[in-house]
Amino acid sequence: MQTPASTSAPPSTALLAVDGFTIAVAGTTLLRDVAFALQPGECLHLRGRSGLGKSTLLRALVGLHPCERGQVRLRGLPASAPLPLLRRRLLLLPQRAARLPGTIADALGFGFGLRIDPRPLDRDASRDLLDRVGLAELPLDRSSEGLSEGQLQRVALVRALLVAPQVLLLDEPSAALDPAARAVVQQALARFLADGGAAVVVSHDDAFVSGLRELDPGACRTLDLLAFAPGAE
Amino acid sequence: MTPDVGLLELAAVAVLVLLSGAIGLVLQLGITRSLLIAALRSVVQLGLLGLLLDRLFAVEHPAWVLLWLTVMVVAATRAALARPAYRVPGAAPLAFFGLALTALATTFAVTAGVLQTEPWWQPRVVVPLCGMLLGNALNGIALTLDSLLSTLRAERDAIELHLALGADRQEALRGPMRAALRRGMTPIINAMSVVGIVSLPGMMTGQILAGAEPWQAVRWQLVILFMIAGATTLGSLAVGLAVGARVMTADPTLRMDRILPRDEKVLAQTK
Repeated sequence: MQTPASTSAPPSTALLAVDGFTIAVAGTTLLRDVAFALQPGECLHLRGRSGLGKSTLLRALVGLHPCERGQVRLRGLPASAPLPLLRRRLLLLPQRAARLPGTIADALGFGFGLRIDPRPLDRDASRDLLDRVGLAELPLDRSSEGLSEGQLQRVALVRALLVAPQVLLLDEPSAALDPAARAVVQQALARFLADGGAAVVVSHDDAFVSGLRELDPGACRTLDLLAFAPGAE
Repeated sequence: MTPDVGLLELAAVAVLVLLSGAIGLVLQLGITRSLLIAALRSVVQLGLLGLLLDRLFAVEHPAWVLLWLTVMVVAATRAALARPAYRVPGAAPLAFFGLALTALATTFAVTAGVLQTEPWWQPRVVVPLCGMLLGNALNGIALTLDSLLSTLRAERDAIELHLALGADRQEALRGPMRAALRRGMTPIINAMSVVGIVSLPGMMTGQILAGAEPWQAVRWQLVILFMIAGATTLGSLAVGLAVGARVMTADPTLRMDRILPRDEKVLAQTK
């Protein structure tokens, strides 16, 4: 997944640096030589038409989809670091929030008690974060059965924030949210950025991105992935 | 002692098959032809088996025993991999070694260590034991594989979420593997629960008919059942781990492209 930096390249000071990243599906190149860098507090909005490979790019950045070539560097993480460690710090929040059996606490605890992070779920921090994303009414011991898609998406965001990664990769984070939920999610993300995190957001929802930009002017850039599609040059 | 079954007696019992065929014809069930062919096949297949076993027991050479066991394991591997709704290219050699190790280790541990047959590879004991073991264990193994591959397909989102959260291969596979092993073990647990009440085991029946003391037949049956339970567990685990290693790489990444619906193979062959 990660390849050692070329000796001729200057050492990167970015929090996240993606360079020459090329992905293909079934032998067809979707995106070629994608490159970007993020500093703490920055948010990058990846834009592009459906089928361009935006979600695949996010999955490939954390090694869930093979990448043809290219490298991902995260500040403080050696190039030879194992994938679980990279994934813990460069955390992907998939578009479809998986329905996990058990309680809300079980769903949040899915990311804890792992070999890479043996800590148990912090229930106090969980309640605080559920409150922050507008789910204060959900008790941790309630069954997660019957949660709406929007609630599931916010529970997934809480789980991701509990992990406290350096960079969040968000795939359509507002897809199932109503306007009120969208506003609290924007605020939660703005706080994550203000605390020194960075985010890559794939979204068709320009209003969500512009809302995020309003909360933190200057922190959110847009990158049109069409420029990296084969034949675009 | 029970009398030997001669060819005349066999032919007399075969009348029952002809009677079944006749009933099929009268009632227009459309199965008469298949029934007769199946009956004929059983005569030919078992006849050949009898001839070969006769030779194997007469020669009594470990190389021939090993060859016989290898053929049985190959057949069992093919059957175990052919039943699940999904297939994993490249899994067959791993499954073969997993199954071979389990079946042979279980068989020889019992013949050499417990029964202390002389020699420890005595074909008259080893071949029927290993055959019964494989025939029964492969049901459990096929169920384990079917459950594992179906779960990986159905719960892909949750498994990839686990990986995205930093789970290693073992952690990501634990849930599907546990469910699969539980499913694979169910038949032998059920079989042991009802044996002697609902079902009368074929081997025990055969031994009693052949003149063995009922207590001796019971003990042999228990030996077989316990061996099947052990081999099913170990075999399911070995084949499950082997296939799991094919579909989840060590780094770890879930290779959904290696879990193919069985129909795709059929489609590919007809192209």
